[in-house]
Amino acid sequence: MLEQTKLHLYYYWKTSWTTILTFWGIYIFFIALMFIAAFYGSNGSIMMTGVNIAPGLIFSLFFGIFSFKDTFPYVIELGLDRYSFILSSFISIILYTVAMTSISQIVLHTVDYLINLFSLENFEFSGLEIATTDATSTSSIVLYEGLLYLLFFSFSILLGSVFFRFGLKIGFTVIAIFPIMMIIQPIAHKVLDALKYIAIGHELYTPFAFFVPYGVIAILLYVIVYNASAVGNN
Amino acid sequence: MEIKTTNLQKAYRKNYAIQDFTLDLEGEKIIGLLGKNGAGKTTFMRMLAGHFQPTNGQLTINGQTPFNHYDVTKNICLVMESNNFNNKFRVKDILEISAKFYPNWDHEYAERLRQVFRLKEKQKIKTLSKGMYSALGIIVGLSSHAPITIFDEPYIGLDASFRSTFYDLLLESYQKNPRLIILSTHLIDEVSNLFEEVVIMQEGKLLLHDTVDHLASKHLVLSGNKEKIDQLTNGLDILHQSSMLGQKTVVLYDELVEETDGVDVSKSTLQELFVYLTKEEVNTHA
Repeated sequence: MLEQTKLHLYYYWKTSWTTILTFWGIYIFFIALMFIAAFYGSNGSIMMTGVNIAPGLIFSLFFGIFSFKDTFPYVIELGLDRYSFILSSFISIILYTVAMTSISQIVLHTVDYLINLFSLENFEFSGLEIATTDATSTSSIVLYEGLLYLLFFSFSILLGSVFFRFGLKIGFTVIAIFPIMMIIQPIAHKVLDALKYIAIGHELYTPFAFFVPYGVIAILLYVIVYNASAVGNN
Repeated sequence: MEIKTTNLQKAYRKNYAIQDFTLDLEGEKIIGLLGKNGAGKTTFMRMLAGHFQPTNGQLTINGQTPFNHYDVTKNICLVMESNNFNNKFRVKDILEISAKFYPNWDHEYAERLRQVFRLKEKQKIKTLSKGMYSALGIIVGLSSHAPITIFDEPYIGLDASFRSTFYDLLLESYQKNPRLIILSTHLIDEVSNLFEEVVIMQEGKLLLHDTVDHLASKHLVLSGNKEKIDQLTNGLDILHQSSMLGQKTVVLYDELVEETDGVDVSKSTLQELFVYLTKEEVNTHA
């Protein structure tokens, strides 16, 4: 199993590092452009406000879907079994989370440093601290960012597995369930109540609440993948 | 290596790609897997490589099912006509990945083959022509030295010269490292001299499994005067016949003809025999 896990992580690395790098390259380039625009428009003509984590989470949501179809059929065709794929996927999700959170923090602190260095008042760039109280520690905020990456990326991989195994119709039906749930009021209330436990600014928040969606995702991923064909249902 | 299937079935919803397929393959040899389009060859090969499960029946390699068994599948290299490689990669990435995944990978040999087929290391997979893509598959298949190496029509887009090179390399690779090689092909005449055994599939079933030598000895082509041929073959199971201008040619399979005076006796090529055997009206010869 260890041998297979190493092979899968290697394959995962080969397929993903350029995509992740490209995302951060474009994102940092965009921030740099905005920064320069704010610098030259510091007389008040340009006002920039950005939240660091949003693009990363949106990226994670799409990247996971493509990541599944970029790895699963190929590593199975190269001989790995599905159990090792599932285990390695969990490890790669954690590694992805650590990498994304670290890069995100580096970007955030670098931009903060540059804002202070150039004394820019018309450029605001914040992390998740805007959603918290002053009493929330930096480590809690970083942990929360990681937990969000973990949730978004694992959910996205689960969606990727649904699309791969069951095809576009069922995949989009699964996606459609979420907005439909929010239309039905009793369900929407329950969902919103449940979300309070994973909303960092809320008094009911606890990081342990994330284990519920992680557990559900892990079980569903196992059920979908453990006997899946290497041939997708397109 | 021993591959054993018993009453193997694979259904896609209500359609059976493979049904009641029973076959034993063993030893280190080159086996031709033949069959018309839709005969179930690719489905069988993909099940062998553990890509999906059979619907029913048994498929084992050395007593173990390949599905979800890494100990089995790490010793199998299946090269298909398409979808072998992720388009994101370059040629060198594919060779690096293959080197990691196939335990018996021969790096120097792969590099030599890359030069033989004139593939550029840095070329992206999505920019490869069909022939170059096939060449990369061939390089991976041959360099893997996998105890079970399977080629499913790996020559799509390759010109006659490179196809000939592939056949030479296949034989050379087999001689240096004897293993079970299964080659599925429609260009039977080009490779028939490589095969030791032939498996012919028809409509998901086993039509025939025999050695090439035995297959050759079991059939007969008789040509001559129509009346003489009719007289000689009266009551025999005729595989194929054609008449023209009072002359007749018949192909007999698994039949004894003692008296052949006055007629020409010859042999069909494997490809001709395959065509005759897979015609709808022919019975099972397995």
